[in-house]
Amino acid sequence: MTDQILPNKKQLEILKHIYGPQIIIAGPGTGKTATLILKINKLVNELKIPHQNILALTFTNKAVNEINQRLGLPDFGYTFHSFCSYILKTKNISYKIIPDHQRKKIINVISSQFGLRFQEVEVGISRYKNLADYKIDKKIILEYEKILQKEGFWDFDDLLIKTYFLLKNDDAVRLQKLKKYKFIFIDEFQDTSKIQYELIKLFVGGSRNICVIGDPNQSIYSFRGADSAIFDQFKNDFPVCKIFYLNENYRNNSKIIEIINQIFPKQSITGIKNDFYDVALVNTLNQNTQAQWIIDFINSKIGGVNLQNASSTSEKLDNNIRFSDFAVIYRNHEHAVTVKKKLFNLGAPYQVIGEDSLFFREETKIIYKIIKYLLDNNYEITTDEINLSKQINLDKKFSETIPSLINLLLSNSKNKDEEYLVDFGLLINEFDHYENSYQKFIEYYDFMLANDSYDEKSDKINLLTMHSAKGLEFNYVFLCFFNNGFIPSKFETDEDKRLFYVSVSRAKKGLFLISPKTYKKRDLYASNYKQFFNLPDVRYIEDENMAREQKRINKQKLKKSQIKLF
Amino acid sequence: MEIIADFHLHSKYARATSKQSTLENIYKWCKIKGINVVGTGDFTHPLWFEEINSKLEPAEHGLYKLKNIYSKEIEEKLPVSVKNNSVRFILTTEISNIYSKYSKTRRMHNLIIFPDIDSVSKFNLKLSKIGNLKSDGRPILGLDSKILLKIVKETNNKALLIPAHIWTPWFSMFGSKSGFDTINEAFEELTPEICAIETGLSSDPFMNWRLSALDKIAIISNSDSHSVQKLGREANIFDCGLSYDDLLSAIKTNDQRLVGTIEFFPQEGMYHLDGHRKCSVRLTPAQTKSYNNICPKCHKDLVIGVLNRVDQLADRPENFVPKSHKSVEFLIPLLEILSEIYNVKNSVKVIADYEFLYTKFGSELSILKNLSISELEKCGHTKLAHAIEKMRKREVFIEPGYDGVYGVVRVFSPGESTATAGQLSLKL
Ligand SMILES: [Zn+2]
Ligand SMILES: [Zn+2]
Repeated sequence: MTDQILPNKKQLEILKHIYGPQIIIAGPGTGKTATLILKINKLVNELKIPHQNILALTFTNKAVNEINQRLGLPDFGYTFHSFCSYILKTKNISYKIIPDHQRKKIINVISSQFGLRFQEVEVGISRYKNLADYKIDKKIILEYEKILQKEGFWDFDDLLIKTYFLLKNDDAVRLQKLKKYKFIFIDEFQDTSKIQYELIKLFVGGSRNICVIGDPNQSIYSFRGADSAIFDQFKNDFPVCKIFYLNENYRNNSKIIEIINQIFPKQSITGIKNDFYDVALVNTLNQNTQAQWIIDFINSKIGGVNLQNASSTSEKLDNNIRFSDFAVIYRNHEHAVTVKKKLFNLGAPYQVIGEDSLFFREETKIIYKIIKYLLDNNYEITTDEINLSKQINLDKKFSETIPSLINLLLSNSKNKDEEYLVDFGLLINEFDHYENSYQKFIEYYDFMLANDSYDEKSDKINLLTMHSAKGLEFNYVFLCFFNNGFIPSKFETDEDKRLFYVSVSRAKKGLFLISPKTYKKRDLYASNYKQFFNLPDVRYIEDENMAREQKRINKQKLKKSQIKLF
Repeated sequence: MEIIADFHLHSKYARATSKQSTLENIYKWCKIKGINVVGTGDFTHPLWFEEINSKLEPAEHGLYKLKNIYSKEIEEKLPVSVKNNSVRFILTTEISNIYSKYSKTRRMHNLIIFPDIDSVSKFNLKLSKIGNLKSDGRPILGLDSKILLKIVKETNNKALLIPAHIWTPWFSMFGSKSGFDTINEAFEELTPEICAIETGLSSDPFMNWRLSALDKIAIISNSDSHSVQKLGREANIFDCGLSYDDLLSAIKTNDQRLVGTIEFFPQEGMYHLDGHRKCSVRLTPAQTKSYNNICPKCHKDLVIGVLNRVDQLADRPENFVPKSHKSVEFLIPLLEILSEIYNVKNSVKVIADYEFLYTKFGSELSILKNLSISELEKCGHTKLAHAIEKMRKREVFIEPGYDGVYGVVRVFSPGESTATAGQLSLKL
């Protein structure tokens, strides 16, 4: 995290203001979490407010863990979802959340029924449920709700909605019991949807001690019904609120801050880090050379992962660098296919942030469920799965059972991703050597379910979409497809700009924006966002490999045309 | 019993390794070379591990042998003189650890030895979460060597981690461009678990003896070969029972059961001296010092070789020899000697002679180490006899290696070789 030890002037001022509604606008890298921690610490340790009377809400489990850890309070913070589950539990209300793959299946069916794209429907439903304006026919939403109800499930949006209406309609006395919170904090306020905000407002007591922290410029989740207008609503609801600005950046070097300030000129973040930096715009030929450029760069910094490139790159070495210092950021996962392939071939360790782990995938989970069922018939699985299980015999060796089960799954459905299943088969092959290999496999899978998500402590090159970038920081950031149509999207919305702003501000030491000239035989154009880089010291790099790659492509074309001729 | 062991090699699944490096070929060449215990190498690679599983079977405790169905065919084609040499496999792999410690990037290779397949499965499972084991027989992990050692020991207490080729500049524990100054920096409180180090081709026990810090630690040597013909170019000689526990305890105690090592002439290694390959600049440590570690041609930092690095870390003078020490035998691979005699590389003639020699006298290592000179002379191999005699006396001519360029070791001085070639040519 951002390295800041003592509170700065602004933070000291914020710390003086304990009571009443407050907004803290915190630019990237300005110590948002640190400020939150300072405030809560003061309440608990100096003013002796029991921490049970403080409600702190943030967006990810990761952020909750960080806050809890830094405060030394194990069960303190909540996400909105965990807060709702907690409320419902106190009211003895039970419910089942729909598994994600099942939810997707329903949306899939409805989308094709109404002739719409999956994403349109998914976003529409979620926006509707979060009280934002939505663009799809209400019939579609009702259809979705009907199916959900029939199957006896809630989705995550329901969790919020049901909690909200339950409390809203609650009689005053019972609600009073729940109102033990004397201080409320909402982190990443720009990501709060209207329904989330309304829910929390029910808990704001007469003293109106509510403090929200966020950055309107970093609002990038409009598809979930959140947008920066929530700050205006807060000001409306609490006209006397105090507004503070945190603008001293501890993360980025000052060159990157200059660029950040160009993107949103109204704000002015000041940097205090003036150490080594590197900002460059890289022109390259295609996604192949783009990936190669990234890999060559990583090699040159880390000293080469093998002998061939170790000795040739010694001058550019960064003497204190590890794999996790690098992040490759792109708009959609499909833009990273080539990078992944090249990293795999190189053998360098990498992880994809925000993409499903092998163990979370529907395909692999079926294997787990069937084996678990065969070991223990009390374990509940679907009838489809029971039918599959009848063709499996656990008296056979593990290494025979799994491939035949995988083959069965592959032949059963067209949509199954073969690559994942084969990968998975390879991974678990080794269980053959255990005496009770099936039991061991289940134990292992359970362990992975609990652990195999993005691990910020693991030392691997990071691959992530722009949407997953928030809250993270890396020494070197490569932004792929810095071209119109990608960054920004063809609509060039404000959200594009904010997304770009968030991505760029991840970089601590180096930022490389790479623009290929073609993608899938399509010509690409330079990004309109190039305008933010008209600054001295920004490097312009022409990728040296372009000529060689062009030659290779020409040769291939020639070969093809020759084949046609004869 | 005498056991010659080579723990560190690579399979066909490792980068820049010959496709010929299969279990069958390793087995065959160990018979020809006279290696009794050979590492499997690369056991972290899923496909290679699968092969290990299907083609090897348990032999003496903790050791494995090639199943009969595979070994029979090989043995049928080998001459009686080497066919019965016993060959056992031991489970080994090498890991490339690249990480940052004490605010510096570290690149370190570690050799790992395990006593059984079950533990290897568990170990592989753990590592598969940490990095990609599938694309290189020697996987790259962003993992502190100390944590790796911890994982090794947690998986099986009898397993060993041995820092590999500890002096090479780019990827080793003491490397000038990659490593640490002491074992303790690298492994901290786990340092006592490091009971052996590997010299690598560019250093020999004499150089390592100059560090009192290594006095209690076993010095071992392996071929690190990427092709089967190079197996055993460095190796270890044990005098103990044939089992994992015997070998392990010989290494751990470093007692007389670890007899000594077979060495490459260290000057032949590709990082012996300092220099720049691109500038064709080769310098001795003293010369490097006079140039302030800067290349006189391109004015960039020189690649500091092993000799210089040993000098930096040593607390004893050059030519220091401890009162009692292990045996050290410097050998030149037989194929290289023959090539020099004929002044050609790997020609049909050289290979035919090589085959003839092991068919007649037994394994290559026994020829180089033990065969009496008079016996060779008696059979008419006068020039070869002369060459081997000179090699055993260490009377050789050397152009040392530097910055990735292998050194050249010749038994005869250029004049000597041409002058005598006519009269004393080998009659085979
Ligand atoms: Zn190595
Ligand atoms: Zn030079």
